[in-house]
Amino acid sequence: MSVLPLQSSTPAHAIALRYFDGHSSKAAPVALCISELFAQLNNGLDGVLMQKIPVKSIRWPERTKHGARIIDLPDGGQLHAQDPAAYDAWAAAYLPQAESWVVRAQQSWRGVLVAMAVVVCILAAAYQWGLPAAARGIARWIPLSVDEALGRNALAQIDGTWMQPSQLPPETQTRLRQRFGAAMQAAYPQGVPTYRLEFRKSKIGPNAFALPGGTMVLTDELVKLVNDDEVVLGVLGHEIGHVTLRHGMRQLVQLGVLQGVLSIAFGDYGSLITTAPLLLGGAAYSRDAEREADAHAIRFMQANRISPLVMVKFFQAMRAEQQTKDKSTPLGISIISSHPADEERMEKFRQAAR
Amino acid sequence: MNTPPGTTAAVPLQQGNSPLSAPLPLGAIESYPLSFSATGSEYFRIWIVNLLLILVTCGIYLPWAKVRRIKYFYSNTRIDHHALDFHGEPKKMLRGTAIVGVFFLVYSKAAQVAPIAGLVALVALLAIWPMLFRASMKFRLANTSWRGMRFRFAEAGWTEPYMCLVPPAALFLLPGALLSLGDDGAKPHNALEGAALAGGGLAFVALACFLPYFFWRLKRYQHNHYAWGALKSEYRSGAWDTYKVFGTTALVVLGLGGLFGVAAAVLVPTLLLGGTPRLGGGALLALVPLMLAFLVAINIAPRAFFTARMQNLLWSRTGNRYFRFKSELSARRFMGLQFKNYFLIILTMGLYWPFAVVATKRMQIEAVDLKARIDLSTLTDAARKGEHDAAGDMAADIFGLDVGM
Repeated sequence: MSVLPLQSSTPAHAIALRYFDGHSSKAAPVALCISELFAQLNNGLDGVLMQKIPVKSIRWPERTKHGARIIDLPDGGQLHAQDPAAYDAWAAAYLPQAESWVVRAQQSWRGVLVAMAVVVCILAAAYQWGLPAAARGIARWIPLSVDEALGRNALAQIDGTWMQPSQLPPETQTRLRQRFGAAMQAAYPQGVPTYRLEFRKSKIGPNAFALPGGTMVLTDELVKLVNDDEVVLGVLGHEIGHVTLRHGMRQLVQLGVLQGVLSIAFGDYGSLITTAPLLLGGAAYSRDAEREADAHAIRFMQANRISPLVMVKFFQAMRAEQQTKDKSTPLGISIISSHPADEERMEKFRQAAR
Repeated sequence: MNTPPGTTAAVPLQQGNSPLSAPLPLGAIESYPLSFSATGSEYFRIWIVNLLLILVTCGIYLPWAKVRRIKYFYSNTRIDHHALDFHGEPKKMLRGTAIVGVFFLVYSKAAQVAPIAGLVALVALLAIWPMLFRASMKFRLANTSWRGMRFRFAEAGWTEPYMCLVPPAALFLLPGALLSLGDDGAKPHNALEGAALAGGGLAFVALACFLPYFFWRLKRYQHNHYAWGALKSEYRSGAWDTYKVFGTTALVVLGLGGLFGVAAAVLVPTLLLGGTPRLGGGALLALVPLMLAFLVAINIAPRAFFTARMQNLLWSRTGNRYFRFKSELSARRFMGLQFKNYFLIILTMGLYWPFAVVATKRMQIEAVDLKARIDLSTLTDAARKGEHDAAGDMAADIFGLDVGM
């Protein structure tokens, strides 16, 4: 469509637009011009003044590449620009208020690159420090009974699938319980935290893990493999670290927040897209948790005059076990395989022993 | 009457009880293709700046970001050379976000604190959600305009959204709630737990059988009430058509499963027998990429297939005696696009996401034509004002429901 001929009574700095009154789908030609803080709307055919509206009460369109420029008037009417480029030039020349910096940033690649760099920095900092700290804070507000309920459910599920009742001789179980109880007294002179030690025969090889709420599970296979009470105590010192630091609950909170942030950034494009970063992020947090629990294990062993070197012995025994296993069942899951930084962890225990 | 989507003239134009007082003059059928002019690079820039502002303001900017996004897509969606426009006000939507956010937080945490609190929250959700859904439809439509005239969600009653949403939501959420209530942590399963388990299983089976019906009912509720000027849409398709789309999607799933099953059956013996005899473990490891490919395919293909077929069915059967839509989105091309999108999103670690969104919307929008037998510039709207609560609009986003317009 061509630009409408403007009447002589309309000022030269007017722009020809299509006007919709909001109650009819029929367009009418109008001329819009700005005089001081008012927008003046004149009939495009006879030049008669139709409306005088404060500029501030109008919702002006933002600049985009191909998008339509639609001006929303306070009474529900609309002005449609035929030619976006002509409208942008007119708006830049005559509109009293400057374009918002958000629009300018959106329309310049330099602005976008700066924004992107800042986003990456904020996200990295939040991931590295903000989220773990927030998780610690939030976890403090969640009652321990929630951890206990979660742990109970998890144990029931594990018992149904991967575990059977322990076949260790009762005297071994009693001995280990007593030694661990005494070690706990030594490590926590001000008061022993609540815990429960469970023995299970496992279908997935030697393993030990802590559940939220204080339940620790030790498999028969692990006890037989290391065949040394001090090593077992070291492993339990690591697990009680998970318990006292509430790693289970903190992990849950961290993953929840991470999931929320991802869903805001990526909408609901697909579960696959947000699952991958969630898994990767979760794995990084769980490595941090392992490091914290190792540090706890060292303090636990030192309080009991056990050499941290027993943990090196444990890692080596686990690795040897895994290599023999690999020949028979290649897909067998082992606790070691989920901790890739074994060398680094052993080094920490060696250092602590010096 | 059950013409497959994609074939001609699915909607008979001559019948239907129009709400018009006087019929409009009918002319020849004119076709107006929908066009979409958004670009991936421009949406990328909007997305990054939005993301920054959301992070810096700790989420308060969320509704402003949403309005920018919707306005961008609307102003690039044109029917007969006229673009859509969005009129939602971020400040009002912020209130809605806050209300819904708090409610959602309470709901998700209640079950963790105590099972009975979870059950109470569930009942509250069932009572409020349909109301929010209806409010969200009203809000979104009332704030969308074309040719200067606002749309409406022309629905007066309160019962219909409850009839549509409560049965499936209850069937979906009840098993979990019952189980957590029945589980007292004791080792031997007690009678209450057994009953809860049986009830939960039954609810799950019922949900699976009636899912297409519930889906159809919800879509009919939406597509029966779109209004613009004196025109009001009707959805002219029975539940059986929706069952067919669900059925063919299930066939796609089965087909994929079969394909990968055959591939595994061929691969494993050749690796076990053909290769070196010591490769026993290696052969199983060779299955890992195959399993990965299967996981990716099963996550993308059926969903894309369903989206394409459902869009064709929904929009080709929406109209009245004066207008209707026609959607011819090729399921094959749409699946191909989604595979490409996922591949590039993973390759660019998420940066391709805005490009993927634009490409998806373009294919979906440009597959649709509006066909009208009236002059679209002659319609008027009886004076009407009235804004609707923004809580519903944001609620729909958080609960994963939005109008597919």
